[in-house]
Amino acid sequence: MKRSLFIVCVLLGACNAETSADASTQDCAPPAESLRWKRADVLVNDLAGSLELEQATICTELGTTPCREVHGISLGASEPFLNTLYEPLPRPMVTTALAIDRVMLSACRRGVERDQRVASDERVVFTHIELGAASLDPADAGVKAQVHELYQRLLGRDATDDEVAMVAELATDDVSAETFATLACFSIATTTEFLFY
Amino acid sequence: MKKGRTVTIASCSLLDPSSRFRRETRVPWWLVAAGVIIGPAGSAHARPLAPSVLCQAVPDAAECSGQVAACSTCHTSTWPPNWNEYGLQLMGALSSGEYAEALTEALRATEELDADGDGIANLDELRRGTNPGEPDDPGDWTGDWTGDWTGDGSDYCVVPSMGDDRTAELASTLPVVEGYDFERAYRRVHVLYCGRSPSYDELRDWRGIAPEPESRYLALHEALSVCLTSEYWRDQGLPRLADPLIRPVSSIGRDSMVNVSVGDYQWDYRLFSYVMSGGRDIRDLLLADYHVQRDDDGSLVRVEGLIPSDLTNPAGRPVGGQPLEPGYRAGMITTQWFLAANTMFADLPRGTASQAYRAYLGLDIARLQGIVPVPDEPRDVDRKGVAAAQCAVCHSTLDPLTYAFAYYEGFPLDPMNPAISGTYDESRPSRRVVDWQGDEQTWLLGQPVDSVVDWSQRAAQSDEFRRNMALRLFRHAFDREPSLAERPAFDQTWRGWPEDGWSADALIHRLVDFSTFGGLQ
Repeated sequence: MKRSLFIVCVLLGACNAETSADASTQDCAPPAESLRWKRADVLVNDLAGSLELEQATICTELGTTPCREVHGISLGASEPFLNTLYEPLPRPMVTTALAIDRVMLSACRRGVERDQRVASDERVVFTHIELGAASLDPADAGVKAQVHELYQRLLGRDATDDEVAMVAELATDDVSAETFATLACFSIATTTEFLFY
Repeated sequence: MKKGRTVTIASCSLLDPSSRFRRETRVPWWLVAAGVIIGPAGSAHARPLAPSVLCQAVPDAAECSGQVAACSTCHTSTWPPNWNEYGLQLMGALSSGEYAEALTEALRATEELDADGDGIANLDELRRGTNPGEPDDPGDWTGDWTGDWTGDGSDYCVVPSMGDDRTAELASTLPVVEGYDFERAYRRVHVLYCGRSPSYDELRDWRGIAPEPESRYLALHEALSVCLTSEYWRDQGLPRLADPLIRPVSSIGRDSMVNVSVGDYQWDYRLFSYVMSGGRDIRDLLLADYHVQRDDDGSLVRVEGLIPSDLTNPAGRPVGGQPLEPGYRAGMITTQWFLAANTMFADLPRGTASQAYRAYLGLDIARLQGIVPVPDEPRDVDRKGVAAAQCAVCHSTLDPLTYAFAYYEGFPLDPMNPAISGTYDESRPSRRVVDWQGDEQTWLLGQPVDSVVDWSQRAAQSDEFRRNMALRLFRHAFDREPSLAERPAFDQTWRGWPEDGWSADALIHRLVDFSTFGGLQ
C-alpha cells in the first residue's frame, strides 16, 4: 500500500476491513468499547495514592483551595451542591487538558519537594537518584530504576526497555535531577494509560 | 385574510373525538398557512393516547420496554402541534373512524417505509430505539442491527468457536464470553467501585491467579464484592448516583450560609446509600418507612420512628429531622428535603410528583415522556389554567399524578399556619387548593392509587422503576446508554432483578459480566 494511501486509510478507519472477524461472529458482536475518561475523584485518588501525597495538597490554587474543587467540572466531576450540576459533563471540555496538566505538574512537583526535604533514607518516591545533582546520566542505573519506580507507582506495571530509554532521554546535561524527576513523573502521569481506563 | 383572523382546530395532533383533549382552539391563520399544522382534511387534533396505541401495536418497540413511549416519536412539538417526518407519514396513512384502530392500521401500513430516509425502515427504528422521524439521530445506540431480536437476550454474542471443546465448556460454566479481558475488567471494577486504580502489588497478585477463566472470574467478582462494601462506594460513588434524584441545593440545605435551611438532604443521601448497598432491596427507595443514621465508625444504621429536628427555618419552624409519621412515609419521595425542596410554596405540588416520576421511573413529563392521560383531567383544581389545550397535553397526566402529594406540607411560611415541612395533613388540600372537592383521584401509569404510599408501592413494582434504576447503574458502569447489541441482555438483566433479590449489588455483578465490560470489541 502506498504511504499516502495508507495514511488516508488510517484516517478513515478503514484499514481493518480486510482483517475483521468473519460474519458468523459479527452478527452479535458488541460494539468496540472505548477507553473511559478517569474523572476527577479517581484521578486525584490515583495521583495521591501513587505519590503518597495528601489529596488536599497535591495541587492548590493560591495556596489555599484544592485544584479538585477549583477545576472539578473540567476534570469531569459533577457539582450538585453549588451549581446544580447533578451529572458530570459527558465529554472533556476545552479546559480539561489544561486542568489535567496543572494538577499533574503540581502533584509531581510536590512529590519531588517532599522528598527533597527529608533525608535520603526517608524519601518515598524519588529514591533512586540524587535529587540535588546538577544533572544526571541517562545511562545511569539509578535513572532507569527511578523510571521503573514511577511506572510501577503510576501505571501499576514495569516499564519496557523502550519506555525506560525514552523517559531517560529527559536527563540531559542541562537538566537538573530535580527537574528530571518532576518531568519524568509528569510524562508518565499524562499518558493515555494513566488518564483513561 | 385580515390580520388576527384565526382558524379553528383541535389542540394537538391526532385526536380521539371522545377525548377531553378535543378542545376547539383558535390559532392565528398565519400559523396554519405556514404549514406548522398539517393534517388530513384539516383535522389536526391532540392525541396523548397515541403512545399507548403505539405500544399495543408494536409491543417490541424499544420505547415500550419498561417505558412509556414519548410524544417525540412523532412530534417535534405538541403545542403548537407539529410533527416529524414519521408523524406526518402516519397522519397521511390515518383513515377516518375510531382513532386507536385507525392509528394501529397506519402503524402497520407504514412499518416498511422509511420516513426519515436514513435507510432504516420505520418498524426497525421503533424496535432498535432510534427515532423513525429523525434522520440525524444516531444517538448512543451504536452497533449493528440484526433485525430479529426476541428480547430474551439469547442472541447476545454467542461464544465464538475456539475450535475445540473448550468453547462449549466455557459457555456452559461462565456467563462471560471468550476473549473477555479479566484484567481490564479488574481495573475497571477498582476504578468504578473502589474509586481508585489497583496498585502495582494488587496487579501483581492478580496476575499470579491461575490463568483459567474460572479462577479469574471468581477473583474478579470477589474484588467487586470488596469494592461494593468500600467507604468510597458508600460515601462517594453512591451519593453521586443519587444527586439527580435528590437534587441538593447548598444554599437551603443544612449548612445554608444564609440561614434558610428547608431540610437536611444528608438524610436522603444516607437512605439512598443504605438501600443501594449491602444486598438490600432497592424497592425500599420508594417503600422505606425508616431512615438511616451514620454510626461512629461511619457505617449506616437504620433508625425507626420520628426523628427530632435540630434546626430552625426562617419561619421559626423546626427542620433538619424527619417529622413525617412512618405510616405516611414512602422512602426517598417523602423525606423532609424532597417534600420541602420540590413542593416549596405550591398549593398543588406538581413539582414533587413530577420529580418522583422523573427520578424513580425515568419519565420526564417536561420532555413529553410518560404521558398517560386520565379521562376528564385536568380539572384545574387550583385555577392555574392548565385545562387549556396546550397545557392539558401534559397536565392530563401530571395533575392526577399529583393529587395524593397535596396532603404533604412543602415549605409553609404562612404565620397563621403552624405546619412543619414534610408532614402529612389531611386538611391541607382543602385549605390550600381553591377548588379542591375531596373526590380527586390520583393515577399512576393508568392505574388509580389511593395515597402516596400506594403510589410508591405501585411504582416500586413497575417495569419503569426497575428499568430506570438499572439504567442508572448501567450508565455509571459504561458512561453511555446500552448499545443495540447489548439491549437484549440489558432488558433481560433488569427484568430478572427480582430473581436477584432486587439487590443493586447483584445487578452490578451482572453488568460486570457484559462483554463490553471486559473490553471486547
